[in-house]
Amino acid sequence: METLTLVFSAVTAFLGAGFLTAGTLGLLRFGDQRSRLHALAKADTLGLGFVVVALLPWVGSIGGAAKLVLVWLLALAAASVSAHLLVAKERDVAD
Amino acid sequence: MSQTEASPIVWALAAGVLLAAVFSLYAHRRLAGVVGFLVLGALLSAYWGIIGAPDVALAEAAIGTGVTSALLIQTVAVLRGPEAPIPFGRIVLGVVGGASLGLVLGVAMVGTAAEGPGPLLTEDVDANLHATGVTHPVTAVLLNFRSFDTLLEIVVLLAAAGIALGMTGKPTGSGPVRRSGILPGFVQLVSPAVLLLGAWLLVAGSSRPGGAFQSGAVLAATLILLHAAGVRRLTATVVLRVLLSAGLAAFVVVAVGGWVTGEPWLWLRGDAAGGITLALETVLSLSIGTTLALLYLSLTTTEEPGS
Repeated sequence: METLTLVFSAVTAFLGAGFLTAGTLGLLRFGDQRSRLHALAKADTLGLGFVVVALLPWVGSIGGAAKLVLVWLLALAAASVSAHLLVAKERDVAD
Repeated sequence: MSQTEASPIVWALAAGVLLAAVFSLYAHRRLAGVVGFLVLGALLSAYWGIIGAPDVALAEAAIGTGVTSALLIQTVAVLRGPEAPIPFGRIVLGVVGGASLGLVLGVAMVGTAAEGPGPLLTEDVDANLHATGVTHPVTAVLLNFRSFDTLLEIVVLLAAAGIALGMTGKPTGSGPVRRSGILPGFVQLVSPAVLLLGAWLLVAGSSRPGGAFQSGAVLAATLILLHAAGVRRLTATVVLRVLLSAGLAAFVVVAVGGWVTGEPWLWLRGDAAGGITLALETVLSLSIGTTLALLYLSLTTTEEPGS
């Protein structure tokens, strides 16, 4: 049972790392500002979510697990607001 | 979970810190350098956390990375000069000079460490911890055993606040307060949670990593967020000035309180020591928070002070 949890955590953590890397690659290589924002907000948050899922079996209490999920939700909100701000700024500049 | 052996993750973090430092110093654009500084601060606080210094990690994350990066970004926003790339020779000189200095210091440290540990003050601290009323040794050292150093730090903060007040002119962009829109809405939603985190850090400092400086930095972050989002403009009112000086005043009261009871200056023992420490930390955290927020505010105003 312990090794199964370890394998599950390893697989999800690697998936998370993969998504985070894909997000960073998109940020560096996409030509358009808005495509870069897609990569940043979506891929990075999904990667963080996978890392949180990888950590959940090891926390040991419902409160700790809830805190981890809360951290992910706040990161999601912050990423959305940042993406919105970046697009709004670009739209203002373009006008 | 602290690593005392040099495991791969410690090496990776250390290498990341050095790379981020070099990048933030020699980046072509100023904003890139500031973002590099942010990354440096994040990696550095992770490094402090992993080698077993969580209080330093918290302080680095809140003050060194959070508030200082806000100040730097605000500075870059108002700088108008051209951004010339740094000549490659200077970069090489800087990296080589820094690396050799680091090597010399590292060799010296390893050499002295090989002679064996010196007198460990941790035993003295642990032996006297029960008399201070707090259970966290770092807080006991900061606010009880070595409170004179903290007192002088508060004096320095007050001096910085005074200078910042002198440089704060009329606030720019002081239009009507916006309460609708995504950014102000998000900030209004999140600020109570951030303030709660600051209050928790303050109270937790008595028994685990936390304390006045970290809580003050979180308070400053809330004030800066509210000001930058346009939800509530920060101005140099009388309330602000009172809060700025309240920390030093409270500290001097506690220090003189030692005299009043017939003990030395700054003496803090007895049953009430824990409660007095927490009350003092509360006032200190208010002062620290308003000082850091004022440093940010002084950068967002026009050039003519004294209004």
